[in-house]
Parts: sequence; C-alpha cells; structure tokens
Amino acid sequence: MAVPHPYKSAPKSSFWSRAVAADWSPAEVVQVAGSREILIRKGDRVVSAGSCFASNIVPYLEKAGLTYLRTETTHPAFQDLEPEPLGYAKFSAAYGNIYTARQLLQLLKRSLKTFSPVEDRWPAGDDIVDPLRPGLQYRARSDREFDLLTAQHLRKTYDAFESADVFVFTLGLTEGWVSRLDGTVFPACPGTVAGSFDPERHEFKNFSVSEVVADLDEFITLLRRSNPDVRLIITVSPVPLVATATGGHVLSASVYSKSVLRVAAGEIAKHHPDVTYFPAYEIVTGPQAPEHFFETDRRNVSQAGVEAVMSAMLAHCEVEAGDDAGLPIAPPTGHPRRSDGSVASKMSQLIVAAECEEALADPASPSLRASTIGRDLDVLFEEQNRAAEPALATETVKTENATLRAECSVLRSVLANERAARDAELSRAISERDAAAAQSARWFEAVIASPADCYPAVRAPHRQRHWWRYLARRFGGRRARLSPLALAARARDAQQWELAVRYYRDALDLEPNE
Amino acid sequence: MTDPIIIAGHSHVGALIGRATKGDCFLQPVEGHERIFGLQGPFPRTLNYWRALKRFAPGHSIALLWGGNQHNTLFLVEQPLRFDLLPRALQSLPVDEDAVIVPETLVRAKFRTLLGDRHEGGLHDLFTDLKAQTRSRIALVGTPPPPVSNSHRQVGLTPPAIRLKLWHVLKEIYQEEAERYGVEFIAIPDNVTDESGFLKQEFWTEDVTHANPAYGRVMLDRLAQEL
Repeated sequence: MAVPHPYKSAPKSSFWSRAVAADWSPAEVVQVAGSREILIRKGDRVVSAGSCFASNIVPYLEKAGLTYLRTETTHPAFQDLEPEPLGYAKFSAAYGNIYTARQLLQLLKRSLKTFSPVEDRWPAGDDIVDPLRPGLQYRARSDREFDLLTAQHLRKTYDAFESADVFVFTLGLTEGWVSRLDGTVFPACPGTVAGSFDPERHEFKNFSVSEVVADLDEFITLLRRSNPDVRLIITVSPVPLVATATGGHVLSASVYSKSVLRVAAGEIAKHHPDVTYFPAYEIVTGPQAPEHFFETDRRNVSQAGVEAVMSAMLAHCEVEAGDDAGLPIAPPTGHPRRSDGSVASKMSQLIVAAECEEALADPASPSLRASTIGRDLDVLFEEQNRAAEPALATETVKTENATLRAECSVLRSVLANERAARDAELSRAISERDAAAAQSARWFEAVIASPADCYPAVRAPHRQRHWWRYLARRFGGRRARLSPLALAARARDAQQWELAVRYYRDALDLEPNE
Repeated sequence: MTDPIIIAGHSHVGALIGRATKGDCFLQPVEGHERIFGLQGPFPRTLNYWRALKRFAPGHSIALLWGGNQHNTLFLVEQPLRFDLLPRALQSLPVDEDAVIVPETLVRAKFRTLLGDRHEGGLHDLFTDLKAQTRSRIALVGTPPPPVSNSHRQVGLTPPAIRLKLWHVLKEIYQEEAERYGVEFIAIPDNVTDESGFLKQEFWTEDVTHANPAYGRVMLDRLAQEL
C-alpha cells in the first residue's frame, strides 16, 4: 500500500504559497521550545543582552506589563544626570552592547570569577577606561576605584543572570577584536571608542559557526549551573555590519556573518531544552519583508520593522488584552512614503548611531552628539543644496528640492521649538530648584534654632559627648533667653515664617493647652 | 603695601566675619585684622550682594567663600539606598562594599550641577566682573570639612567618613574652578583638621555643616598671610 508523501500531511505553514505569499503572519514563524507554548509569562523575570538591536525589545516588554529585571541601575540620587550612553543603561546590568557569543561567554565567566582579562584597563589621562566597557562616561579615577566598580558591576551582572526566568540574547556579529595575550574579546576595535590599537596586542577574529555554537553551548551550560530553570530566547540581529575588517565587501561580510549566526542559533535551539530561536532576522530581512522595514541607509531597522518583530514576540507572551500596546501583527501592506535622502532620515541615523559603538568603527560617521544635532542639520541641509544644484535643470527636480527645503524648514522649526521649550523648562527647573533650596535653607535654620529644652529630639542626646551637646548648650541657656512664644512673635514680625512655625511648635510642646 | 582684603561669600563666611543682623550690604572691619573687611548682607545672598562686592572690589583683594555645602545640601541625611565612593585623593580610606559604590566622576558631575557657575550672578559672572574691576588678587577660599561624630546613626545622618569623601570631591572641584578662572585657591590649613581629615573638635559649632569663630580666626590669619 502506497504511503502518502510527507508534504501531504504538512501544515499550512510549511508552504510558501499559503504561509508567506498569502496569509502572512510573523507570529506563526515562532516555534516556542518545550511544551509551554508561552515565551514569557506574567511575572517572569526577563534579562537580556545583545547588540544594539537587542535593546529595542525592552520598552515593548515593559509596556506590555512584563517584568524586565534590572540589577544595576544608577543610584537614585544621581538619576537626574545624563545617563550612560551606548546601551550601558538599557540592559539588565550595565554591560552595554554585547555583539558576539564569545563576549557573552566571557562576561559570564568574569561574573563567575573564572576569567580575568590580562588587558583589563587602559589609563586615559585623568581617568581609567574599561576596555570591556569603553564607552562609559563615568569612569574610575584610580586603580582601586576601578577594581571596586568593576567587581560591583560583575556582581550585579551575576545577580541578573542567576535570577533570570527568561534570558534573551541577540547575536549581532561574528567579527570581533581580541587580545593576542589571552583571547579577551573587546566590544569594539581598540582605538575606535577609546584606547589605542596596537597590532602587537590586538588582532581581528571572525568567529566560525563551530566557534559560535561552542561559545553558546558553554554559556548555556555554565548559566544553568547557577540557574537551572532559566529559559532562553536566542535571536539574530537583522542589522547589517557597519564595517568589515575582512577586506571583502561589507555586504558579503554581513550576509556571511548573519548566516553563521543564524545557523549557530538554530543548532543551539535544536540541542538544548527550553531554548527558543526567535526569528527576528527572518521577519525583518526575509523576501516577504516590506522595503520600509529598513531606513534608507538599508542598515538601520525602521520603527515599523521593530514593531513587526515585537508584535510577533508579544503574540507568544502572556500579555493581557490591551497590554500589547496595540501593535499590528501583520506588516503594513502599503509602502509609506520613504524619506530618501531627507534631512530627517539622516538625522534619524545620527540619533540611532549615537546609541551604537559599532557605528564608531566607521570613520565617516558624522558627529554623534545630540548637542550637535542642530549644527549637523544645517550642514546636511547645505550639503544637500550643493548636491542638488546641478540637477535643478528640470521642473521635477526643482519641485523635489522645494519639497526638501520645506521639510528642512519644518524640521528646523520643530527643532527650534523643542530647543526653546527645553530651555524654558530648564529655566523653570532652575528657578524651582533655587526656590526649593532657599525654602530648604529656611526650614533647616528653623530646625536647628530649636531651643534644646523644648525639643525632645535634641534633649535626648544631651547626655552624649558629641556636637549635639554643643547644639543643646548654645540654645540651652548661656544667653538671656526669650520664651518660645516671644521668639515666635519676633520671627513672625520679621516674616520668617518657618522660624515662627518652629517656635510656635516649641511653645505648644511646653504649654499644650494654650 | 598689600591691598585690603574683602571677605565675601555664602554661609561659611559666618565663621570668619560673623553674620550681620540687618539686610543691607556694607563692609564691616574685622576685629584684630585692620586690613580685612567682611562684606555683610542678606541671607540667602541676593544679586544685590554680589553687585555690592563688584562695587567695593577696586583696590581690594577678594577672598571668596563660594557655596561649600553642596555635600550637605545633597547628602547630609543618609540616602535610603546607602552609597559609598572612593575619591582618588583618599585611597587609603575604607569603602563599604555592601553599599552601592558610585564613581567619583558621577559625584563630580552631580556637584557641578550645583556649582552655580552659569546663571546670572553665578561664579562665572562674578569672576569675570571682578577680574575686570580689580587688579588685586582674587582667591577662592576652601570651606571646612565635616566634623566626625558617632551620633550620626541616631539622627539619620550620612556617616561622617562618606561626608568627608564628598567634601574632598567638592574641594577638588573648587580647586579646578579656581584654576579655570585664573584665580588663586586658598586651602584650609592642616592645623584645623585631625589626623583623619575631619574638622577638629575645637572648631565644631552647634550645627553639623559649619565651623565656629575659632576656625574663622585661623582662616583670617591664613588669608592675611596669603593675600
């Protein structure tokens, strides 16, 4: 008896014509490992690491009501300062972007204290650069401080890894730079973000499939020794290389790199339980993906691309209705107007690039500082005008140029308004701060002016040897004393309201019935 | 002949020149120092106070005690989440590794937001105008370190060791600011601190953030000597 061939019973998703050409649903590409069918449940502590693209998932997870675990954040007293750049403030601990599997394994080993780089610091004038976090702006100023801060960072990293219910890792690159001394892998080529390149000490490395698989395999094995129940989601970043050091064309190098990572991720998901490969790469780069999933540089993933990925992910998470931020699951069918060559697009690139130290490998990268955005905008506008002038012979080009000018004008106006609003806000905040400081000073002086005999909190330390005794003595009787009521009246007459309140309260303490 | 000296500034001037009871701005001779005058005026300081300083400046050396209490303003009361730091200048001090260790550079960035150097009547304006007003010497004067006390836990204050570290960071910033503006920096003399760097007990006052007139007399002698 003839047996039907296997395709006869294959599901709809096995057929391009029915799963991609028609009825396309990115969420259907996801195959959750194990029997749970849920990637992330409510209350699961999610920890993530990876390339720049990896940080995209965090706000979506949090907006969907899922729990993103952060073990290393800026101390609350300092959170009003400019945050660390380059992703250090975006992940569960301040490890920043992690591009290669070897880098991830190295981080875990450092947090387990089983690996310590020989080249572990670069003196840089007044500061010390961490070669493994070269973009940190709040750097150590002494070796001992560097050791303390690094040890604290690695403890917090271990806490995150050990406490994760779900660990999401986004593979970014196969190309990296390593130390010839001990194989330490750096997040960026020495000399690009910080430090200096030394061919005697630094060499290029393009990791192979077997090396990436081995690194991920070792990472999962080590991680599960500390955290046996952790589930993993492995993804591949769809963002191409900013530059290759292979000597080949960057496009070929990108496809090679992503292909290696994709194969390695598949191998790992196949051979480890509770490891799900999540197809972010396919959703954004597959033939079905609309052109506008990338920005005009064909490198940075657009907002629509990110939303398509996150919609597919959240479709497999335990998200209550309404928690998924209303993201569309299917990619838009139309092609929204692209901003080819527009200033806005280039400015978007600037802003995105400012988050990614990999971009600093390209010496042609424009200035990345947010503070120079306005100036860069003007420069871009002028460049654009110069480039457009020879082509102004036709009415069509004239029209396009006028449109671009109008766009630039609008954008400049928006930027100017935003600058003005920010300045006004800053000014208001300074005024409020000064007012609060003045009020705080008045209250402080009112508090310390309390007569010791009338204020139990001061009277208590009276018997002790320290400065409180002097405080109590001063107000306790070396001078001719006025009654608290008289003092309050005097303060009131001088319009020193806080002081008056202080003394009225003291008077009430003495004569509660008055 | 050296120029007469005007001492002006925020609350720490109280130890040196006292605090006048009325709000007008006027120069008051300092007892025992015929060459030194204190610029009295309202607290908190107003734009008029700094304008008065600029007006009196010609022919005088200026000793300015600017701020100096930012470490108390921000951190006198212990933070709910304890922190510690290790300034480069105080490498031998212990660090509480159970607390959050914050980089000294982060603390410096925080203090710089409270330096008051950019708004109208701020340090930048003041030094720029004073340098235009007088050819005499201008100095930024160090402010007193915190006292040590074991009573801090009872009243919820930040441990003295941490306040000392914060004060050191602030002192370094003032030294750098003086250099940046091309004025002198006059540090506190060693004889006002104990072997650990805290303010000696004989210079304590009733509150934990300032020094007493005995400290002021030591500083007056130093200013007379340096300027």
